[in-house]
Amino acid sequence: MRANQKRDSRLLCWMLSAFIALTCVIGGCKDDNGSSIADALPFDPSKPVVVSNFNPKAGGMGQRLVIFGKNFGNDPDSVSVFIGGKKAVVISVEGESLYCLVPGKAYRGDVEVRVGTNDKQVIGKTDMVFDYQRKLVVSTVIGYRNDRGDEPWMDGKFKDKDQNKMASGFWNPSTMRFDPLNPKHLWVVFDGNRGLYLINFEDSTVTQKRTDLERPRSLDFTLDGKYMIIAEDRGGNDEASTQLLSRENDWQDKEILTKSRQCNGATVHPVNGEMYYNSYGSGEFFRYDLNQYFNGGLGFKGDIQFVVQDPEWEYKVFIHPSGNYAYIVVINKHYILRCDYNWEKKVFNQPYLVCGQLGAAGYEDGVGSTARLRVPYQGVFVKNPAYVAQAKPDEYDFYFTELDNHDIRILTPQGSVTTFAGRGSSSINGDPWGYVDGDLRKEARFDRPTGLAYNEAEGAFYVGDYANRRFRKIALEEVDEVIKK
Amino acid sequence: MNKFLLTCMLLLSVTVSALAQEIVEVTGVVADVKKEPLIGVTVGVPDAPGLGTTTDVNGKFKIKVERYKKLRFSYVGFVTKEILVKDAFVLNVTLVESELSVLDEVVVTGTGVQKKLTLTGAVTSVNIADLKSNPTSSLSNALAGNVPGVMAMMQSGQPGRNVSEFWIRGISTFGGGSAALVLIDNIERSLNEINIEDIASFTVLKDAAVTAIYGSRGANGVILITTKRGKDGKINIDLKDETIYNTRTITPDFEDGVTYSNLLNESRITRNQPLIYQPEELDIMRLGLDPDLYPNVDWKDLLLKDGAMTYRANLNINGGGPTARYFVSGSYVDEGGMYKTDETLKKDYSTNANFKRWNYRVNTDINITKSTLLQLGIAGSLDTRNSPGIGDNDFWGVLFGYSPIRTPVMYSNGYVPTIGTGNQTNPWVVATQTGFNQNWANKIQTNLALEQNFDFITKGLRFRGIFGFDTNNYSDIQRIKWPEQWRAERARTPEGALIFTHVSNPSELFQRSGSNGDRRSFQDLMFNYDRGVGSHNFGAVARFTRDALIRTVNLGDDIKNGISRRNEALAGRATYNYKFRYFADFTFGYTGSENFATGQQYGFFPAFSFAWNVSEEKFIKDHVKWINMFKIRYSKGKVGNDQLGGDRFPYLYSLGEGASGYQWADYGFDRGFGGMRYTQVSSPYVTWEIATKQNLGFDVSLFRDKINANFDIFNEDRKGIYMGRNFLPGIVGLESTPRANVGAVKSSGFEGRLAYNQKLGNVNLTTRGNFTYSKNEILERDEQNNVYPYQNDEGFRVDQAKGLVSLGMFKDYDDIRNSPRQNFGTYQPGDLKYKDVNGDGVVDDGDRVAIGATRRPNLIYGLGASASWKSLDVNVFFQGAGKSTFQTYGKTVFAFSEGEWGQVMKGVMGDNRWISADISGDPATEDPNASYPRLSFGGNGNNFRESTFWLRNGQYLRLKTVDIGYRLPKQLVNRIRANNIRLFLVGSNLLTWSKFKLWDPELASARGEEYPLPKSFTFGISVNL
Repeated sequence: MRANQKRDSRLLCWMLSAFIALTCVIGGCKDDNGSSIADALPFDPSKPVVVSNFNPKAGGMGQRLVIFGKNFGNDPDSVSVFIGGKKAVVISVEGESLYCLVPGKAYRGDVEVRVGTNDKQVIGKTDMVFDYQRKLVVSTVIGYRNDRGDEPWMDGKFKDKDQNKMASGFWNPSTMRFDPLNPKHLWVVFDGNRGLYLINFEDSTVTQKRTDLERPRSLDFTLDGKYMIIAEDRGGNDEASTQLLSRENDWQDKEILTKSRQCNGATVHPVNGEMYYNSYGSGEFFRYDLNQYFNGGLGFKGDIQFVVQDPEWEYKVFIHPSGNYAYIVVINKHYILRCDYNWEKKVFNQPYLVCGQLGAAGYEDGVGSTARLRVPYQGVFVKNPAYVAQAKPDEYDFYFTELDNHDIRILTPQGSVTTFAGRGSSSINGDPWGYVDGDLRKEARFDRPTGLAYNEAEGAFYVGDYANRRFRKIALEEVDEVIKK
Repeated sequence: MNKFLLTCMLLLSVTVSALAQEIVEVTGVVADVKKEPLIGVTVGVPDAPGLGTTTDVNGKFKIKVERYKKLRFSYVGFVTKEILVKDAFVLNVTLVESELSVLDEVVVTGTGVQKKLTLTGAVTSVNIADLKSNPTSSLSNALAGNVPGVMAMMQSGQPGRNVSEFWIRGISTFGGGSAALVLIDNIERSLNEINIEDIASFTVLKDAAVTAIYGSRGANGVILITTKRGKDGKINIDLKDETIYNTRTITPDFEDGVTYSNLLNESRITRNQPLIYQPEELDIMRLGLDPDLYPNVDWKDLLLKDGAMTYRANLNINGGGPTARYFVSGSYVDEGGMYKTDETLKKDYSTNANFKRWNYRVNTDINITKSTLLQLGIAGSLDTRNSPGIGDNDFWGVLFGYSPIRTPVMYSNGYVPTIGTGNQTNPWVVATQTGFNQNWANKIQTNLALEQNFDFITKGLRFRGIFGFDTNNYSDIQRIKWPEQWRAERARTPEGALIFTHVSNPSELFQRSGSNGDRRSFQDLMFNYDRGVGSHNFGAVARFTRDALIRTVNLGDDIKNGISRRNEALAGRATYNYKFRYFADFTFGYTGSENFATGQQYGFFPAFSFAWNVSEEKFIKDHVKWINMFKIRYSKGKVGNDQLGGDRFPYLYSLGEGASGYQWADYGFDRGFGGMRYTQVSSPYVTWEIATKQNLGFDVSLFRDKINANFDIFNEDRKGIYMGRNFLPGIVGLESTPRANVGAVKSSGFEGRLAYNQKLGNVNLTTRGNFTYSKNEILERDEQNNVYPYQNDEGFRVDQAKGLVSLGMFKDYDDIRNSPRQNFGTYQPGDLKYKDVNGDGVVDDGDRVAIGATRRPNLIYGLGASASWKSLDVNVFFQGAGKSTFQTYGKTVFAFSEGEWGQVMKGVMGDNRWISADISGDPATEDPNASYPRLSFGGNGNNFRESTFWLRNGQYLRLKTVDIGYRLPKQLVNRIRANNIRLFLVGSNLLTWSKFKLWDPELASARGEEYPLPKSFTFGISVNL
C-alpha cells in the first residue's frame, strides 16, 4: 500500500513536471514563412514556346515590356528575346510571362522569344507587332558611378566591360566646347579640377591633356581655331583670368592673356574675334580686343563695358552666331539678360532681362519674367530648321542647362522658356533628379547637369551631368539599317 | 518531499516547548455535518507551530501531543475548532461550514481596518480573485469593469508598456494631473510592479468622507493596497504556474501591392495627376517578374509572429506562531513580444519586445510583547524590457508607413534596401538589424511598522507608527547599429542593371545609456481610539504623515532637481454610532506641500458623513427579515489636488539676460550692456485645486446575503484648477505666462454593483455586475473669448471632441456652386461637404462644433458570472465601455496623405468609396453618401480634417475572461501531501463587439499605430501544500 502510494505520488509529480515542460515546448515553436508566388515550371524543350501577347503595345528604347505566353521556363539566361531583330535585355522569366527591356533600333517591331541553349532552341513568335517609336532620347556616353560613389578620376575608354578601363571621375561642374576644326574633339574643363580634358569621339577615349589649370571656368577658341582660351577663376587682381593655349604646340604651352579677379568665363565674338569676359567680384563686363593682341600686343587689362547690376554676380556670356547679341546667363541669380551688339561702336549695349527674375529661383516654364530658373549654367545656340523655313530673322534657339533644376531648357528669340529634357519619370518619386535614360521628358533624369555642347553635324547634344558623374547625349535614336516595310 | 517539508518546518518553528510533559497519541476522524469525511484538514497545536498533520483520504488523523494542550482543526470554508486533549484520545470531530456574513466583512481604509457595516463613505473593496485572470504583468489592466468607480484605458499592448491609465469616477480636471493616489502598504507606490498574488486587500476610496484625510492629495481618489502577512499555524505553501499564449485582438491588415498600386494610381488620375505605375508595371508586379523594383512584401507577416508565450510563476510561503509570523513570496513573469527576430542573431541577442520581471516580498510580524507588534516588509522588483534598436519607437510607424511595393526585404545582390533613414527605414531593418535596447527598473521597498496597544492605559487606544523607505532606479541601454543601406531607382540601365543610390553607411554597434532614479521616505504616526459605552460607540483617529521624494540620479545643474518633493499632513477622524444604527463621522486633513509659497502651503480639508442602517431598526428586524442589511450613506467634504504636472515652485520667478540694454559709451566706442528681464514671472498665490464632493449611497443585502448591492450617486465641484494664463491682454505687459488656479469643472455620475448568489443543488452560482457613469462640464477655463460661444471649452466636457459636421460628399459641380464656399483648399465632387453651422455662407474653422463625446469612455461596466460544481468551476466576465468617440487620422487612415509613405489599411475605405465614373465606368460609384471620399495624393486640406466623418464610436463590449478550473480529487492530491491542486484554463479578450473594427477600440490610439492588445489563452496550475 505504502509503496503504491509512493508510486502514485511520483506519477503525479512526473505529470506535473511533464506539464510544465510541455508548456515550455509550446513556446519554443517557430513559424516559418514561405514565399507567396508559386515557382514557375522549368522549360520543356518538347513543347512549343508560345507568345500570346505583350504589354504595352508601343514604346521606344528602354521601354519595359511584359510578354505573355507559354513554356518560357524559369531561367532568364536561357531565354533570349528579339524585338525587331534586336536582342532585348531579359530581366526575369516566370513560365508564362517574362519581363524585358525594348532594345534600341527595334524598328521592325516583330517579337520573338527563343528558349533553350544555343543548339536546342525553341522559338516562339507572334503576329502582333510592337509599335517601335523612334524619338529623341537621352543616353549615356561616358562614365559610371559605382554604388558607393567613390570611383576615381581616370582616363580611359567610353565603355568597356572592365570598369577599370573606363574613363571615370567628372566629379565637378563642367564647361565644354567642340573643337571648331575637328567636330570629333570635345574639350572639357571642370571647375575645381585642374585638368584639361579631351573627349575624342574618333577612338572613344577621354584623355587629360593638361593638369595645371586653376579653377577653369570656360574654354573657347579664337576665330581661326589656332588658339584655345581658358578662363580661370582666381582671387587676385593681378592674377591670370584668361590663358592662351596654342594648337601648334598641342595645347601644351600657356600664355597669360588677361589679369583680373574671379573670372567666370570668356567668350570670343564669333564675327570679329573680340573677347568678352567678366569679373565676379565687382560684376564687371570686359572687352578685350584679341585682334589688336595678335597684331601688335595689348596689356593684361580689358576695357570695362558695364557692370551687371551689382558685385558678386556670377555669369557667363554666350554670343549669338550672328554676333548681333549676347546672352548673359547669371548663374547665382537665376535669370538671363540680353545685350545687343553695337556694330558701329563695337561694344555691347546695356543688358536687359529676357527671362527669369532676379534672385527668384524656381521651376516654371513661361515667357520672359514669368519663367523661373534655378542656377542656369552653360548654354549653346542651336539652329532651328522651322525658323529657317519661315525665314525668321533669328534662326537660333538658346539651349541651356540648369544645375539645380536638373534639366535642359530652351529659350526662344521671343523669350519663351520651355523644358527640353530632364525631370522625367515622375512616377519613381517626387524628386526631379536622378539617373534615367530614355524619352527626354517622360523618362530622362539628370542630376545637376552643367556643361552643354551641340554637335550640329550629328544633331546631338552632349551634357556634362555632374552629380551623375557621366556624360549624357541627347539625340535622335540612330538608324543603322534600312527599315523594311 | 516529506523530508523537505519536515526540515522546513523544523527550521521555521519558532518556539519549542522546553517543558517535558506526558505525550499522548490522539487519533480520530474529521467529518462534516453530513458525516462525510473531510480530507486534508489541518490538525495542529496552536502554540506549537510546526507540529501538525493533515487528515488522510478517510478523514483520519493521528498526532502525538502533550496532554492538556489544545488541538486545532482548521479547513478552508469551515469554522475552525479547538479541542482540549484531556482524557479522550480518540476524537471524532465534526466541522461546521463557515458562513461569512456581509455584516462581518471588513475593509481597509485610510484610518485602518474597519467593519464594512460602520462605513459612512464610498469605499469599494475589490475581490482579488476577480483580478487574477488578467494575462498581463500589470495589475492596472485588470481594473476596468472589475472595480466599480474605476475607468481605465489601455495605452499599448507591448509587454512592459502595457499599462492602463485609470481614473476614479472619471476625470474632473484639466489641470496638472488627474491620476489617483496609489498607496501600497500605506506608502505611495506604483501599481504596475506589484505581484497580484501578494495582495491581501485592494480598496478604492472615492468620496470626501474617506479621502479628506489625504487632504490636498486625495481629490482624484485613492487606491489602498495591503500585502499579505503570515498567519499563525502550519506552514502554507502556494505555488502557481501559468503558461499563456498571447495573440492579438485586432491587428490592422494592409492591402497587398497590386491593390495598393491601383489605389495609388486612382488617387493620382482622379485629381488629374499622372499615373505612378504604368499598366505594364502593374503586370510586372502582379506576376512577380521583378522583385527588386516591383516587390510585393507583406511586412506585417514578415515582422509579426502570430503569437507569443508568456510564463508566470509564483511561490508563496507563509506561516508562523503566536510570537512571529512570516510571508515570503517570489514571482517571475516573462512576457514574450510578438516581433519576429533574425535567426542568425539568435545566439547574440534578442530584438523582440520582451518583458521580464522578478518580484520578491518578505513580510514579517513579530510580537515583541503581548501588546506590541513589529511588522517589517521588504519587497523588490527587477524589470527588464527588451526592444529592437531603433524599433522601440519606430516599429509601428514604419510598419504602417512602408508600403508593400516600396522596396524588397533584400535586393537580389544582397544590398539592404531602404527609402530613407530614421523612421523611414526598411521595417525589417528597424525590427531586427539595428541592435537592441534594454530598459531596467530596479525597485526596493521597505516598510517598518510598530503597533502598540494601549489597552492598559485606556481601553481601545492603539498606536501605529510606520517608517517607509523606497529606492527606485531606472536605466536604459541602447545598443544601436545599422547596415549599409541602399535605394534602387525604379528604372534600370539599358543593360538591365539596377541603379543604386547610397543612403547610409553602415554603423558598428555602439552604445548609449541613460539612467534615472529616486527615493522616497515616509513617516506615519497614528493613534486610534475605539470605545463603546452601552449603545454609544465612539472612535477617534489622529494621524500625522510626512513624505519626501527626491531624484537620486541625473540631477543635472538645476538646483531644483536636488530638492525633494515633500508633503506633510495632520489628519483626524471622529466617529460615533448609536447601536450600529445611526452613524456620524467627521474627518479632516490638514495637509501641506512644499511646492507652494509660504502662506499657501497648508490647507484644511474637512468632510462629514452620516449613515443610517435601516436594517437595524426594530421594525425591519422583526417584520422584514429578508433584509439583512440596508444602509443609507451621505457624505460631503472638501479634498484637494496639488499636482502641477511636474512644475516646481511656481511662486519663484526666473531672471534672464536678453532684454534690450543701453549703450553707455560715446559714438564710435562700444560700452553696451544688455538688460535683465523676467523670463518667468512669479505666481505667488498658486495653490491646490479644491474639490467639493457629495455622495449619496445605498448598501443592500437581502435574502441571507443572496443579493448584494451598492449604489452611489456623486457630484463634484472642482475649483481652482491650475493652468497657465495664456490670454492676458498685452496691456498687462508681461513677457511670460503666469500661472493661476482659475479653472472649474463640475462632474457628476453614478455607480453601482449588484451580486447574486444562488445554490442550485450542487451548483454554486454567482452573478455580478457593476457600472460607472460620469459626466463632466467645464465651468471655467482660461481661454480666449470666441465669437461663437459653441467654440469655447466652457460648457463642454473636458477634452470634448470638436470638428466640422460632415454632410457627405459633393454630388457634382452644381452642388458645389450651390453650397457655401469651403475654405480649406480646392475641392471637387466626391470631396467632403460640411455644414455651415453659423450660416455666414462660408465653411471655415468658425463652423467647428462639439461633435460626439470624449475619447475616454464616460461609462464603463462589467458583467460576470461564476458557477462551481463539485471540483469544477467556471467564471465568465464581460466588460464594456460606452459613450466614447474619437477622431481617427494618420497616414493609414488618410490614404496617401503623405504621398507614397503609408500603407492602405484594409477596411479603412469601407465598402463603397467614392470613385469617379470616368474611372469605374459606373455613375453609381459617385455616391454622395459613400464611405470614403474621392482619393487624393499628398494630403487634402478639405477632406482630411477633424469632422464627424472621421469621428468613430469607441463603444465596445467584450468577453474579457473565461476561466475554467478543475480541482484534482482530494485522494490523489493528498498522496503528495498537497491540500489542493487546481488546473485552470483562462481565455481573455476572446470576443469583442464594437462598431469600430480597424483596431482595438480599447486601445487609446487615434492612428492605430500601436502594439495591439493581447488576446490570450492561459493554461495554469496552482498548488497549495
